[in-house]
Amino acid sequence: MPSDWLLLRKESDLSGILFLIPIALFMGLLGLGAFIWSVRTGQFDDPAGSANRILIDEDKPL
Amino acid sequence: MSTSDVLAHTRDWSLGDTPEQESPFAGLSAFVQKNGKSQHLELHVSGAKCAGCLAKIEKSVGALEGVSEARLNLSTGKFDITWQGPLPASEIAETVSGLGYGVSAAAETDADEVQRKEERELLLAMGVAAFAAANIMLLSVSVWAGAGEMGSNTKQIMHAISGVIALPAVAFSGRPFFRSAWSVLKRGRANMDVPISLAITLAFTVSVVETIRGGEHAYFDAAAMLIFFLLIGRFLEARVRRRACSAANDLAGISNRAVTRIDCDGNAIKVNPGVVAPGDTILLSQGERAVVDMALSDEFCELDESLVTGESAPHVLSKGMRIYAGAVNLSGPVQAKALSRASDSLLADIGRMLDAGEQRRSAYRKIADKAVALYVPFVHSAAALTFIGWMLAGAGFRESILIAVSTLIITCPCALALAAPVAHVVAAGKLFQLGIFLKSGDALERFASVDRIVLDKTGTLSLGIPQLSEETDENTIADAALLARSSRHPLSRAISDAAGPGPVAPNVKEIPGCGLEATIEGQLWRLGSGRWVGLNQDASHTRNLYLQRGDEMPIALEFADRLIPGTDEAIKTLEAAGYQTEILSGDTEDRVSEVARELGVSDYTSAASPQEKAARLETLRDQGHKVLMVGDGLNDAGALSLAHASVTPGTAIDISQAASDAVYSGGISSLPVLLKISKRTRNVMLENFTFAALYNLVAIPIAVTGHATPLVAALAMSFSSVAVSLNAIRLAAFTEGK
Repeated sequence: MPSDWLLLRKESDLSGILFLIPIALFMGLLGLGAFIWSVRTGQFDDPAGSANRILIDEDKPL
Repeated sequence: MSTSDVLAHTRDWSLGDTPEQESPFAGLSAFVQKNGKSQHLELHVSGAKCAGCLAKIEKSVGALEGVSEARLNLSTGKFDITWQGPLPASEIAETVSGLGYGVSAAAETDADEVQRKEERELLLAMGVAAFAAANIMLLSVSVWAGAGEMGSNTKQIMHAISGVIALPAVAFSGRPFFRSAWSVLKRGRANMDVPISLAITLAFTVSVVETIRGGEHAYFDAAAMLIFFLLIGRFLEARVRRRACSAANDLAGISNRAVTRIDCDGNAIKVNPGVVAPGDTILLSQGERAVVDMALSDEFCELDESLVTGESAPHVLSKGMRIYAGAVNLSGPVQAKALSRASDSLLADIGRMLDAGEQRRSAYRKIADKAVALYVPFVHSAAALTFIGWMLAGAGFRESILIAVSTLIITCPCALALAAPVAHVVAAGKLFQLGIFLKSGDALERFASVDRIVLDKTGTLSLGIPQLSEETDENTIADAALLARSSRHPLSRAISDAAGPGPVAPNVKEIPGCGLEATIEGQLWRLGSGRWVGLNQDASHTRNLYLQRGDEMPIALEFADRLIPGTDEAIKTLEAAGYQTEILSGDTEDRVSEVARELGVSDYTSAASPQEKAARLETLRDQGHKVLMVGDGLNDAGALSLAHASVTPGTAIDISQAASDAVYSGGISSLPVLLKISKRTRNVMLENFTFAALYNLVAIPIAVTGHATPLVAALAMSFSSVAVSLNAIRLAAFTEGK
């Protein structure tokens, strides 16, 4: 709809959203992708274990 | 000479010369999966709760030779081990058991896998819906904020972008609802998912039409948010259910034990119980639990049938008598002929009884179901009437359908769908902290309506392990312990427990069915049954043991089953709270009446068979009682599954755990807390449903009069969902004092 885009420019200077919305969506999709990856790799299968594993010290000499 | 040496050299083995002590985990090797060089084993570990447990278990097993991976899932208790080399599976299990945790072979069912898949799918759907809802909301906020200023073309672009985001979200995340709605619609019925699917689909379709026509309102945000909130409820439900499934895994350990079969060459091989056929010769070693029903081929055998009958004293069998699956062999190794397949054994029969109970239970109408039954026709007729009303008022088709759809959206069952699951999750978490393991959310509702409590005796009220009577003379105990320390018989163990650590007589001989004897200071000492020491008694009298020193008169040692600490107070608390109590036991009259008197329970039944127990439960049900059954034995399983609600102690590693709604640790002192929390949970749920109803009473007039703009719908939807969730979270603040 090229005519709409022109109108948009005329009404007020809202052209910023033309790239801001895609950027926002892209970043959102990145996050969604990361979430899907984490679910697929089983990172949500054991929430209790994950929470407790933080507390385990790796007994390595300094 | 250590105790085990004494045992090893003097035990009277009735079969072969295998002086090694049989490990209780020896059978695990049948469950190892070999994959090239590496071996894999799935165990079920119970009792691990914290980071300390996790580290201890994983490190100890990881330190065993050849172990390449040891990973414990703390949420489900599943423990995966992969290793190379000759390490026996039993050593892994012994390592874990040595740390003080319960170990069994993980169930070989696909149920867990199915549930895990379902949970993952819901989580993914929820993530996608959350993404869509958040991003559409971002655009919608600008539309609402720019009302009056934003040009219609800009608005149309905003709506179009929202639609593009909403389409995959609705298609992907809405699947769980569409699928369920379709499956019940095919059978001509309706459930909660029908109005949900309808609302989502209509909201989306109407919005697409509106966007194309350049209309004022689009409900893409509402559609995405509706899915998101509803999926939260679904996900929480699935999580509670999966936890329950892992508890059920525990009991699979009982029939998932390898069986020693003697083949035609006389070789003993370990086989999976599934392949045992009737007529096979089975070797039942000392301390082993029978997995199939069989007939004894040897002359004599002493069994612990407490799991089957609830009777705490050992049961003596002679040749040809039936050994029921679930019985533990107390005497030396014996051979027996399998009478059935594992799938036809008493264990399996009880399993089928449980299925029947399960079906009846699933027919129970949950509060949520009742709410939905009221909700669906009400909301649908409201929406339909709205449409007709506006049409008659001359608003035009487009306007009328838009208002009708907004009615469906704003009365969305978000609050209704969250009301029960959130309360269930919070209550289950609270109970878990208190040592009570809840198996299903709706059990809380059934617990809350209980008015009568039926208790089994052995293992529930009493320890189920014989204890030496306190009146026994100390010298006698010390002398008896000289012999008893070298035996694993329950009565011998009770004597050595009472005597504490001390010396063992050399060359103690255990004569199955009779007792122990040894030559001490030149005299023959005997510890055993009355008949064996020369008293005139019948063989079934196994309650007492007699100690005979040389030619002296035999001295009787009496045994009693003691109450679990805290039982007394728990019964008093329950009676004070208005519950009727009753004891229903398979044990003998005198023992049951003794316990009943001690606890002040006037209603009791003794010597009840599993069928009689089940019948008693039916009678009580017909009398209109809502019965809570508490029991641990296999003989209680039928009654447990028939009861309105049931709980079982964690010490019962058996089918009963599957039959009941909750598993508790410690004595029945946790029952009052369980019932109290259940009542609270039910109250919170009723509050939530009341709130959801009130919310609809306010929302419907707004929607019907055409004032439900997307902004109003979004606010109302979020507000009601959050309010319901916050109310449920109050349950977490429960303390015992209140």
